[in-house]
Amino acid sequence: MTVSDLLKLLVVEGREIRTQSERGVIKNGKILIMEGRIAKVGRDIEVPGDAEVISSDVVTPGLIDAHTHLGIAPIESSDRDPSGADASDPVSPHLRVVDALNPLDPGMKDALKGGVTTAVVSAGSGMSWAMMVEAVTIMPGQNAVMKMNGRILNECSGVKMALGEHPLRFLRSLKMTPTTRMGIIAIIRSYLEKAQRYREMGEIPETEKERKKFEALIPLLRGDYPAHIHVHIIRDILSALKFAEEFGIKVVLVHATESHMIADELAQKGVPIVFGPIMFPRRGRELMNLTAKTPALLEEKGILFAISTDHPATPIEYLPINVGLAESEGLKDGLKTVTVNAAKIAGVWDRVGSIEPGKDADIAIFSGDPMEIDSQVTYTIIDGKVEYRRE
Amino acid sequence: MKAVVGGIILTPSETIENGTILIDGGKILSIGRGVRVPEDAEVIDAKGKYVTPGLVDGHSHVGMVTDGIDWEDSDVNDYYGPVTPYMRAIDGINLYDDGFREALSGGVTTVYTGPGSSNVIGGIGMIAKTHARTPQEMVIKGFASVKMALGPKRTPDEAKPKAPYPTTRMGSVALVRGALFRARDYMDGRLDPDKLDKEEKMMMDVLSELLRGKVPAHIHTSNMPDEIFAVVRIIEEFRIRATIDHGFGSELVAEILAEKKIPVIYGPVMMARRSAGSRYVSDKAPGILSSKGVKTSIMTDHPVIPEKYLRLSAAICVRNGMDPTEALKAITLNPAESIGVGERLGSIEPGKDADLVIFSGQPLKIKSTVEKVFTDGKIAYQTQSNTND
Repeated sequence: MTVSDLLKLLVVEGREIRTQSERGVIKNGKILIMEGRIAKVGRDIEVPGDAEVISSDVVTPGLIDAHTHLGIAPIESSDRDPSGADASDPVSPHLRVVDALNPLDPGMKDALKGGVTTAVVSAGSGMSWAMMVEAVTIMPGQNAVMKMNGRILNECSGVKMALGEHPLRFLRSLKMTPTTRMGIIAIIRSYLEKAQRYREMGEIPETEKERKKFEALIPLLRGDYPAHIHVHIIRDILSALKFAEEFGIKVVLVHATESHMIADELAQKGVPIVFGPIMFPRRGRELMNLTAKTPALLEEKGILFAISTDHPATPIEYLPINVGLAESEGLKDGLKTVTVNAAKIAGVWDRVGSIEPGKDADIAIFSGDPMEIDSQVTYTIIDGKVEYRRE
Repeated sequence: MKAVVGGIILTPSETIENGTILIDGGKILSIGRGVRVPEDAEVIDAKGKYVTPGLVDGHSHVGMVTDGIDWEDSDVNDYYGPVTPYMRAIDGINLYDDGFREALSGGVTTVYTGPGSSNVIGGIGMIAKTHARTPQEMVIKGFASVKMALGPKRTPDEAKPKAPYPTTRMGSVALVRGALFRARDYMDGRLDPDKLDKEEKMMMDVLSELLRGKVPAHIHTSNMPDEIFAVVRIIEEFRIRATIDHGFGSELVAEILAEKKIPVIYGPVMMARRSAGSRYVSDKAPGILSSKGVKTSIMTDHPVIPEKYLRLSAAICVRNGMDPTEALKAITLNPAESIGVGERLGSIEPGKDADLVIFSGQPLKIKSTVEKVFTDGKIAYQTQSNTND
């Protein structure tokens, strides 16, 4: 961002500003943007003479996709490129997606077309129909949070883990072990235990690589960041909850395809969920119970959850359409799942996710109901700068 | 007799507000604004609702890859060899696949389903209604097409095929031409049938039907627009009927396809653009194709996009610039005509099958829902809240 960008004043006028803050919806309101941040929000804001003014219809916070592989699992590239899931060692919590992000990934432009301004970039997988196995290991690395202007909000927002059929199939294709669910849990437990001993008793790791792994797991044990755990079915969700409790670590359940079937238990434990992708082939037993009805049920039970595209599994520009689909199946406040909830789960709520003074000026503008098919994103603004304008 | 009364009927080419549809013996008897409802007719109130023909998917694999057990039980690609025209979808289809039931809940009443794209000539595709559970009830055409697939082929490491698979796009086209030349020789009596083994004779019999124009080919093009030209050459060289299936990049040559009247069954939309070739994938394509006069259909390629989201796929195309009437035609009349059942299905017209969907609102809006589905004049699906009506 240049100095002149910073000095420019921008005012967004909206027929309806859905602030996602305590102020709710402001009709015929204005947002004053200064130095990339939101300065004022309200009905009676004086427009400075030198400000650029955008008059618009429905204004929301920039949307947030809480689980993607954008910038790490390439699109329009070799379809066997497993980037994001290193095949040399199934337990690699020390790898960081932030070290390999492609700042020119075409998915970033697609995101802007859908009003998405921030995405969690996750290590591992990035499944598509064309791939015979989902490339994901037990611990493929650390996730990052990136804005669609390339700015990194958090270099390490969590350690990715994966349970169940998908890592097992990938490991089998590499002729690696373990080969059972028990094996996966045993390995995760042994690493967490060793990291705990390293942290508490200074036990010397056998190799320098081990030390790196333990150091990546210590913030997890301290509660500085959560584990983002790829799970689909109930048995794996229960396993995740069990070792999370055992080690006192925070977890985010990613995909959680069968979460609606044990929603009461999840609500009671207060575990956050990133649900999706929704419009996806039901590959293998683990996806058999995939349904667009899940978000409505999670909402009813008061569970903190976000809806995600799992880009590139489904294109990120259709994040609002995924939310609309869930709304057609009974979800009431879909916008919240991809703003407030996603920001909280991604650990960036202090910066983004609502239209409030002091927060980053990340704003999406729609021509109508944001989640309906015939509404279009007319502007996407990040850090106070118009990054996308519909022609 | 049944009468669907008061709905906004999208035929799909015309819109009839406050119209009536009379159904008799599983067929549509009449449609219009001034249709008199006989006293003994069962009246179905559709006031303020939208009524469309049952949706038709021109390209899917419903029943070939059972929902939820794809990896364990996929019956869509046989690696016996690259040319297996005699393999029939009807011999491997799972009529109890939940995909059929789900299709109905999304308003899809008819699907083309068949072999996948791993073989150059993969086999015989079929057309089925989605409501029934026996072959007799559900199959409209058991021999609906010869499935072909251009593009380079890969075989899984564990497969031991009888003949090698082509690794280039040239190679795939050469195999198609080779097989069709041989079938023509067979038809013209230049091949002695007694000297052919049974397998080869079956192959020739299937391809002869294609060469005689009795069935169309569904020709899968992978990611490269140049494969479209290969399809055009094959069609013209052998004078066969064919649809271009998937057709990524086809909008770049839309004028040529319109002039030659070659239909495109496009999709799926909302693709994961993982491969290098997917730079030609664009959800704007169906809108461009239809605006340039190509007969355009939209496919789910189920299970790639679940069958119930056919309507949503068309809506995505509207979002990307397609005319809404054309988008509705692309999941009703156009696929029905392109796959060869246009005389029976795809529009609300007297004499056609009474396959109808009643929507709560405009069918191409996400938040509209499917309320009732009729197939052959009988209720096949209705939402829970309507069950006690």
